[in-house]
Amino acid sequence: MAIDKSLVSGSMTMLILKLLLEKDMYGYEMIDTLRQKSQNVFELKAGTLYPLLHSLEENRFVTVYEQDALGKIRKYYSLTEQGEKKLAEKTEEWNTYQKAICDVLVMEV
Amino acid sequence: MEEYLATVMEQIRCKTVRPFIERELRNHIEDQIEDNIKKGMEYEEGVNNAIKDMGDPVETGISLDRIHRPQIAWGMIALVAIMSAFSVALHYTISRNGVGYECYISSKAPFMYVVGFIIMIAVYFIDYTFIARFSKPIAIILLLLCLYCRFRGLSVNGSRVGIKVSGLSFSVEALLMLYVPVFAGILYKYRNTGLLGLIKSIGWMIAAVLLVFELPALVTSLIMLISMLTLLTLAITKGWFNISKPISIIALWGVFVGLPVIALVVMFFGDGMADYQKDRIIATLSNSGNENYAVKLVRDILSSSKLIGNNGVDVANTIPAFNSDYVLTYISSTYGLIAGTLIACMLIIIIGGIFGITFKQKNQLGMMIGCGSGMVLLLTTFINVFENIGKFPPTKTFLPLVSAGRSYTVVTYVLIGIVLSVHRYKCIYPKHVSMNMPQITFTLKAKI
Repeated sequence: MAIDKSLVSGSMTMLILKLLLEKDMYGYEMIDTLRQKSQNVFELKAGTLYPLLHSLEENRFVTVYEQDALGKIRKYYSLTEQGEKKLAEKTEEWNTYQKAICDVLVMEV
Repeated sequence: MEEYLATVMEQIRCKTVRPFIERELRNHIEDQIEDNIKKGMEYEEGVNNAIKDMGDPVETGISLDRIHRPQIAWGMIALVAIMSAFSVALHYTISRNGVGYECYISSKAPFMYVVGFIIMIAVYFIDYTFIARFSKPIAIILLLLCLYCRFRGLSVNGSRVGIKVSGLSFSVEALLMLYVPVFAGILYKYRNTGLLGLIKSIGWMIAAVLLVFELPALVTSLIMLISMLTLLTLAITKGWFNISKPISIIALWGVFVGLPVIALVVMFFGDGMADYQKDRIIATLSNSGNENYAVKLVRDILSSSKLIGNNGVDVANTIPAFNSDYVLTYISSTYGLIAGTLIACMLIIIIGGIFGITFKQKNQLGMMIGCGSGMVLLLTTFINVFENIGKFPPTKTFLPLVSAGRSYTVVTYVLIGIVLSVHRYKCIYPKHVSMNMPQITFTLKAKI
């Protein structure tokens, strides 16, 4: 089932930070992993991912390094301490939001 | 693919950042094409699907453009403008109320401050990686100027500190302060070259420090030495030379600061110093005794200064270089201690801001160049303030953005301009930049 874009965009920062908490990744790897983990629910466009990653880098939530992989220089993103704090914040925010939504839905039922 | 990339790039106004973004997006598309082909698609279909998966190129380009824009440090420019306006007013007043050499120099200062400010803005527009790309030729020119000055320069009180070019004289001693940010560029070029790179970098440092010391300009050489040692320490800490960090840092400071200090202590307690030299050191350190005449004068003026307002001492006719070396004493005596303190605090805020900009940089070259500029201004201010409270022996110093003096004013603004340029490219350059212009590389490839 296709998910409304606006539902995904609000939580995209949290999802990207969560992916990077597990390991350093390059852009394509992130989209691929996200697609697999969400069972094709999150089909993130590169055009959305890179501006988001670049703004996370400017805000120092992630840091970047380059590494040669199979003859290609890949740009890896790595979570910073600040990024970990941001992820914790976002997760808490998400849990509150999710609980509130569930409560309302249950009430309606 | 080329069409997609071209459309994205067209939206990004800053041309410098384009090659970095293009490479990342190109890699992404190529990965996607490879995967599509592995899934069984034909090449053409794989490419088309990969481009479709990228999303709208205009939207992507606009989003990236919003992030990667040249930055302007308005706060810093405003602070520098306020300080400059104050200094213009100060020197105008000095020149209107007195006669003599200092008043003549002060009468020229407002014009130099305006010129300096314009130079600062001009430097802001120059890409700071230029300094690194041409660091060695610039350093050699500076060293040759210093060498020329040593033998053929203008002589002032036994020191050959300046050069006259088509009727315009300028201080080589002041100009050599710019060697420090240039040295940051040299260090960057030796990145990843191991111990040999570190030794070569130290060679560049020693050459400059010795030449300036020989002018003779002891304090300037000391400022340069400490600033460059700090840069070397930072480079080692950042892993530029891939060597043991604690050992090399201890060795570096031990050899260039520890050993000279030990030698001085041995000379002090042994027979290596004349009695008057020992007396001066004791007087400076203990705040009493056989003080130097100028130190005593400064201390007397300071102790008689009021919190607000003039203390009645005719500083202009009492202390030499009251509008440059001892400008803080002049301000404290004429306008009160609060005015002097405020000026010192403003400078500390500006220098703090410079280090703030510097250490927020993700680009390590920018950080290093900014740090070099900041160190020169910090140490100069530090020495001048301590000289003005009688805690440092009299020497030729200047208070950045306050003292009168053509060369030092221009050098100060150039140093601040370099930091502004570093900030300008904050969101543009990645952690490391190649010393070859990326645009040139791409053009060559296209031609091949």
